[in-house]
Amino acid sequence: MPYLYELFWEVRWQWRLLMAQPKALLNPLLFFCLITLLFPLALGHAPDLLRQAAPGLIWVGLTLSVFLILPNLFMPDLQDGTLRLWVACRRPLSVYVLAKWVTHWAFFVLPLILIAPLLGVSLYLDLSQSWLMMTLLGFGSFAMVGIGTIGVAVMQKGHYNPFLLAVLILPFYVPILIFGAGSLQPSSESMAFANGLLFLAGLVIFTLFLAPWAATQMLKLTVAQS
Amino acid sequence: MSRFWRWVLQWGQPGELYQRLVLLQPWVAVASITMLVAGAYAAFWLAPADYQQGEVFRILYVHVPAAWLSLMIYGFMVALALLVFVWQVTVAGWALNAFAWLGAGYTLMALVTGAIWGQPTWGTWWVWDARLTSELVLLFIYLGIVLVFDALSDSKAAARMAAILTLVGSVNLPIIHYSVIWWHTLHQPPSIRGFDSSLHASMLYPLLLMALAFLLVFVWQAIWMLRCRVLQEASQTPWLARRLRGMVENGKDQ
Repeated sequence: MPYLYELFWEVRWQWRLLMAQPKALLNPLLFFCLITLLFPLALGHAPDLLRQAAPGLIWVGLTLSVFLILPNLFMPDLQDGTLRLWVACRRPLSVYVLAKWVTHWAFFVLPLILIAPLLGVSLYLDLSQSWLMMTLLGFGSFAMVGIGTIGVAVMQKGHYNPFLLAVLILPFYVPILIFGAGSLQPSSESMAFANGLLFLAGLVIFTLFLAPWAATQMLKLTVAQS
Repeated sequence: MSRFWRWVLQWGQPGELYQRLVLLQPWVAVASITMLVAGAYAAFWLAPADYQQGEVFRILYVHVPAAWLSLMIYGFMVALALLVFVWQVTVAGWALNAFAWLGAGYTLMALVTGAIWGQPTWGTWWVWDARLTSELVLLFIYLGIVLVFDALSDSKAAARMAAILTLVGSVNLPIIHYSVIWWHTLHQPPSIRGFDSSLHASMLYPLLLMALAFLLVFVWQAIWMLRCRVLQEASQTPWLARRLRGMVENGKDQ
């Protein structure tokens, strides 16, 4: 239990740090809106085509937004030395990784999911599906941020390479995209939603075990050579 | 310590490793060339043409060994990653780097030959089929591991990071594979016709010969890359100086 206690306090602390600059939320929010609204402009205003493609477009937009949020996780702390202290002190580093993961997801990604149905309207998506879509997006993006912590922990001398990050983590997003967007297709059966949700929930639990360990090891190496 | 364990541990010493690789290389080279010639003769002349696909099916004898090898190399890499991560064997990190390059190469070879085979038989270069997609993802994972080695200047830290990434990939690969299969069965009817029955013996033994030949060629390539790497890392070490002095005095190689 001391672990959970420590985790709770660390989450609280990280949340306060994020709330000190609430305007930072605007960046991913605007990016998500704009990138999703680019698709109707590029594909032409054919309602049938857009309705077919809407779940996939929203998922791609969310993936790109998460991808841009990830550098926020560890970069500032590496540059101002907080991370070095975390590695040097005896507290478990996985507490830090988990707290960053949960708070950044809640602060940056959750608002994106809340406005996803609005963007869905602009893509002629059926509004009755909103709750399903938001649930799937929530589980999927949580796993995405978790897998992303492993990738962004690979940094050299305080710099990270966005292209390297893409190659490292995007292959692991394949199952999330397949299940997340696949269960929302208008043609899929009713079972598809339950299957997709169960799969994504399982993936979240799996990532909860895997990502803190892997990110901890990566962060130790990153700090040691920076 | 028993003689066996000393022998095992000596693989981790660069000087001893180099000596063994030099001794091993000609045998592997002869064996791989022999198997490759025998396998190619069996595959391209002795094996009968397929009654449906004709002569084009013979690309199978390059495609399938490359695809098998692309998965097998990842298995070897997981073992090397454990050596790097748990026991911190430096040499295993060098081997991991070489294996990642070779694995990416064989995966690319499997994808390209598959596309060339797909064009006349399925009528298309690419299908979003389960196996093709997971092979493509495997290629990206290999390339990610290669890039981690290149991105970091500290080679020991890079090896450990690549080892962690290999282990993470090894537990994720089954998930990716099965998710792709699920997707495939949901959305499109199977387009791989494959073989209606299992391969006839006259077609099967060339395949096994070629698979063995590819494995030996891979070992040969790995020995070459590892030899070069050991020399690169050992530029200032006493064992290399002794070795070079011995070569000058004896006036011969080896």
